[in-house]
Amino acid sequence: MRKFADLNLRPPLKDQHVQVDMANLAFEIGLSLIGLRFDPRVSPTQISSAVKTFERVGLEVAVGVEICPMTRRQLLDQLRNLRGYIDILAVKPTDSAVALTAAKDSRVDLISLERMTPRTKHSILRICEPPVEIELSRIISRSSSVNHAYLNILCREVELLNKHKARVVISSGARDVLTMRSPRDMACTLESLGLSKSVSLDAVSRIPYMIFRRNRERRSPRFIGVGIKLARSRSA
Amino acid sequence: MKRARWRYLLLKIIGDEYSSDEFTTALTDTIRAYFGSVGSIKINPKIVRYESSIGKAILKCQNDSVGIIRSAITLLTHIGDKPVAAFVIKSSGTIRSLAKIGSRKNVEKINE
Repeated sequence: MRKFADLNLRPPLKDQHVQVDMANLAFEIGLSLIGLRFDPRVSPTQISSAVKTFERVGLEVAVGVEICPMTRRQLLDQLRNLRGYIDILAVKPTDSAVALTAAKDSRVDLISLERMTPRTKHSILRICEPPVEIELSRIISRSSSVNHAYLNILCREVELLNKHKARVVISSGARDVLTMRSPRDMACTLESLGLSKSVSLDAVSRIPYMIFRRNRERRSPRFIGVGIKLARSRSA
Repeated sequence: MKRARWRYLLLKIIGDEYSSDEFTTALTDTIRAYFGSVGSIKINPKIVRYESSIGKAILKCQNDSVGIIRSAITLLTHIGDKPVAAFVIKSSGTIRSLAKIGSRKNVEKINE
């Protein structure tokens, strides 16, 4: 049976009630893995309090950070500083040079092509290693009806993703219960935009779980290298 | 002629209290906006049961149009001027199993 994940929830740090509501709803709509996305400057105390709220309802929680580096140097510095401490590292590049570097770096878990031009998207997808993240909050928001201009851009992006057979992750990017969506519903939205059924379902289940498990394994003290694990230490 | 096969979806609706008609109109408008009038006629969604007080509904649609209904539910953000969100909690081929799930969840909610 498939387990579903949403790797991009942004609960308000100061509002505990909204966090509890989001946690309960996430459980009810069938999510089993939640990725909480924070700003790199948020304090660890606030992060651990939000994580506990979501874990209390029986969800697996991945802590994620989204970075928007302006230069290549900035990207590499942030990757070096953050990689060891978090489960999910998402990059939202603002510049094509940064995007091309992020697309080739194995430390990047998710890359967003939101701010790229169609031509840049094409060249990034040719070499892209990490899965491409599609954030549903780009087209739905609490304040207005569905944004048709973004929907059009998204349709073209999906066409490119299909062409390059890129791996995709769809997430809600929800900041409250009204912008959260059920994982199967999100997959159906992707399917109606032009992706195949299996790719759409993998975008909310297999690929997010794969990223989460790989990073948890890498952060474990027994991890030595890819495919190498400490079986028993001398002191044990 | 092949008999139409139906699928029933248990929905959770978050927002203010809306009547069944208001919700159906908003959903049909969303389907029409994104999948066209022909799509909307073919799908023909119907609200079978609706409990506005607890925000639960059972929706009936053609078996092969579940995907479109689910995407329309995802894209449904407003009823009138008020924000709303709807989620498919469960999908089934019979209404009985969904009614059971719906009532069990209600009992759990009351006990809480």
